[in-house]
Amino acid sequence: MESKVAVVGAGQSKYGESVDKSVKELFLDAYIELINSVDNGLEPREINAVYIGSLGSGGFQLGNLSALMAEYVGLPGVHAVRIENACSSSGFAFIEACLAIMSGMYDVVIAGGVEKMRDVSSLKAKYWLGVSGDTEYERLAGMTFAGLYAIMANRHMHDYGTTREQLSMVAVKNHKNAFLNPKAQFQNKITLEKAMNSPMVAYPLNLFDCCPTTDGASAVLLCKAEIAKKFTDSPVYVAGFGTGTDYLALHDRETITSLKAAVLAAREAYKKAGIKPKDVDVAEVHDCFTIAEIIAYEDLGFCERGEGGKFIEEGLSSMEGEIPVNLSGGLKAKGHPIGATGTGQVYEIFNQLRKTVQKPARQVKDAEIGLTHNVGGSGGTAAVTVFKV
Amino acid sequence: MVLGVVNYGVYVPKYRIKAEEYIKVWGRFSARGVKEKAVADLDEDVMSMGLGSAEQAIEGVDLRDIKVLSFASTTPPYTEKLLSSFLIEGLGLNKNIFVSEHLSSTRSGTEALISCLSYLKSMGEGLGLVVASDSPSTNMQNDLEHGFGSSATSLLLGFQNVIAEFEGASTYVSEVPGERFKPKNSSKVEDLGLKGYCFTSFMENVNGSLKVLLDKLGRMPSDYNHFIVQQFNGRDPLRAALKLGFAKDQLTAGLLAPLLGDVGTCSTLISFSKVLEEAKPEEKILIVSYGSGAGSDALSFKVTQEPVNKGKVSSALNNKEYIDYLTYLKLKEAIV
Amino acid sequence: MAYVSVPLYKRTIPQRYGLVGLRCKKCGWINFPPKGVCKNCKESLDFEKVKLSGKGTIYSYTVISAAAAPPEFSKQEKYGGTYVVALVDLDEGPRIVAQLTDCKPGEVKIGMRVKAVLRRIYEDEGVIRYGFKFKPQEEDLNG
Repeated sequence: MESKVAVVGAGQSKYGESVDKSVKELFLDAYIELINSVDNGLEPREINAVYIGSLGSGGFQLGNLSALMAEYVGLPGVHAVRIENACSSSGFAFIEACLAIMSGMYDVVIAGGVEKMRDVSSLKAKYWLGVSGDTEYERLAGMTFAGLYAIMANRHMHDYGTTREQLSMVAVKNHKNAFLNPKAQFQNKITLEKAMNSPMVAYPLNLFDCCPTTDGASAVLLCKAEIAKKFTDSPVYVAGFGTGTDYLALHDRETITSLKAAVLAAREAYKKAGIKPKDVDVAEVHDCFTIAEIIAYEDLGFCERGEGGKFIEEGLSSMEGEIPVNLSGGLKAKGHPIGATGTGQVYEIFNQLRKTVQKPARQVKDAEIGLTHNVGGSGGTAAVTVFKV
Repeated sequence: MVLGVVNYGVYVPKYRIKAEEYIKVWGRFSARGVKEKAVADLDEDVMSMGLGSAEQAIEGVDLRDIKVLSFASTTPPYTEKLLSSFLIEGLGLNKNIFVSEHLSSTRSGTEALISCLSYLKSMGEGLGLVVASDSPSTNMQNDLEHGFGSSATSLLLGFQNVIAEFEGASTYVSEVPGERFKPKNSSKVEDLGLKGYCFTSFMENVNGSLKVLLDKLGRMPSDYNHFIVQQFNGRDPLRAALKLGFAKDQLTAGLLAPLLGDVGTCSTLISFSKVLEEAKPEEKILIVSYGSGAGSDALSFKVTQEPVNKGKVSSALNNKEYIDYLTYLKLKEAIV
Repeated sequence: MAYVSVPLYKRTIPQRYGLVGLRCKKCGWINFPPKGVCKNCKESLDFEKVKLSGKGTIYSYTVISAAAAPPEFSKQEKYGGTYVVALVDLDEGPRIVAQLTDCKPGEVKIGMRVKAVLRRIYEDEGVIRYGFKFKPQEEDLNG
């Protein structure tokens, strides 16, 4: 597929607990970095539309959130829409922005995401974290998000022999990567022993298998491919994208050891991009729990079904490996500000492919093709996008 | 046509606490003759226990034949709201049947049984289901609490395949304030510690219902193989039985308070289920209940055949797991 | 919020109390919980009610740790500690999620036989939610 859309700028707030900043101010941080990242400059009035992904920011602003974000950064009057697909909200906001450009309607569009999770009490946060699974049955069984991924992990371990150690290896790798990411929520390395021995959250997943709750915002600038060079000499092109949906409840799905929504999304994205899984040089995948990253390796075709545990164990997803995965630290260590995660992944791939990551030690070598994999809920939605330089 | 009991079911929660656990904590245990008692888990209440016992009682019957449902408890989960509706939906019974709910005292179990029998008698056909389920509670400091246990039992009544024929019933009621009671807006049982006053009332009411029934049937206490009396603890039933002219061995088969504690309005009927499981054809069973405030029902049954599916009561009594007092406090949500 | 309102709960009482599923009249597939259109043939809206046996086999499970439960389960978790949530393959075909009861987390295994029992789930706004849980089938506990 000939690329019709390019990414020419990207910004991301610091992820973590932002006691002093609201979602508006976090979005402003991302927006300012985005504007500054446009090599040849951008006049804000050139922006036609803003697509914002958000789950609900803890109920702070459920309505008209996108217009609020736009007006706060000086863009009143633009076409502004909020996209909600749980944890994949801004992965989908990005694709909606692509579609808007591909339709010919708009030339220059912002896709972004925001979430404020840490303003809400721990009680309310538990309410919020449970909103994207199946409410009628899973919630009434006392299920939690960690529980859903734990039940997948348990079966994955049963069917394929995936080990407890392999789960923890994902956490260790992503913490190691986040150590080099100044914008990550956790910038500390952890040992395998520490990861293995952390308190159980939902058997077989322990605390270090789980991503944190995070405040954060991210935003990327997309434009029609033909005008990309006006903004920068090194645009990153959207080579292909795909989305998928599935039954919300795990009990309704064909399988719980794979996310069918992600398989569908990946198949479509590869087809459109005209590449094979092994062509990917660097990937940001949705590791809300360590098992999710192992399943992602398989769903994305980085390895055979059931071989995800070996893929991490053999170091194939490390910085030096075959396909470095989550060099940003991933959701696990960079943080997971739900609605901001998808375009946060694009921010990382944009910088990796342009060789502009903040700390050179985290820069992948000779990468030309990047991929983002953003999953909503426990796999009810998924968006996969392939990028190339 | 013979009206009587067709089947029975019991539900005893698996947890038990022994009297010794109380003695360890409080230095004493006030429920005389109770060795251990049944304790409901956090997800068990009188509705779920009642349903569990009813499932056993209705096994194998065409649910469309059940025409009446009578429910009894002194510890309903709501003080206003229909309760039998839960059983109708959970068991899949016809929604057009008559239901009655008996909630005011430990006599309510036999009250429900008489109500159901009367309704069936007037219809002349069909099946009736009686569900008695109770889990009395009060403050942990209250001596009454020591004896309180949890259990449920159900009786399926009808005209065909009867295992125990109903022979007659009588009731005695007298105004006795200040015995065991729950004040308005409280879920905790209280009493005034008037032991002699309460036992006198107990004897007056129980005697009052028994005498009328025995006279009506032309029977003597010794005509009965089994005597079942309301069991607030494990010792008073024997004391009362002897005073009423019964012998210890008539009481033995139905004496469950030593194993279950005071299971409130379920007491006489779960003992009845236990006796039905062991009784032989032609044996006679006399039941007498007591409820504070006060009233008593007496009912007489004659065993006609052994139940088909035996062992339900013994397996419920034997399926147990002992807990300590701290766990007990948690299950009672008494640590706040 | 992920909140099961009383009317939403009430509409599902036949499933929660009585395990009533919908059998597709076209393809025979048992839909439990019910779907608007048959999950199997994706064509028919014509169903008949069927009461499931409640017997099944554990497909997978997790143990929700103390302090990790949703707020409406915090009382259960405080007094009862950890609890098990399982995916159970019912003998009639459907897979369903529910808590396990009457067993200790350490006893649970994939492949274990279980049967449904109706229990109290939680109380919210003074209204009790009842629903099915699963407990080990006796033969499985006895080996």
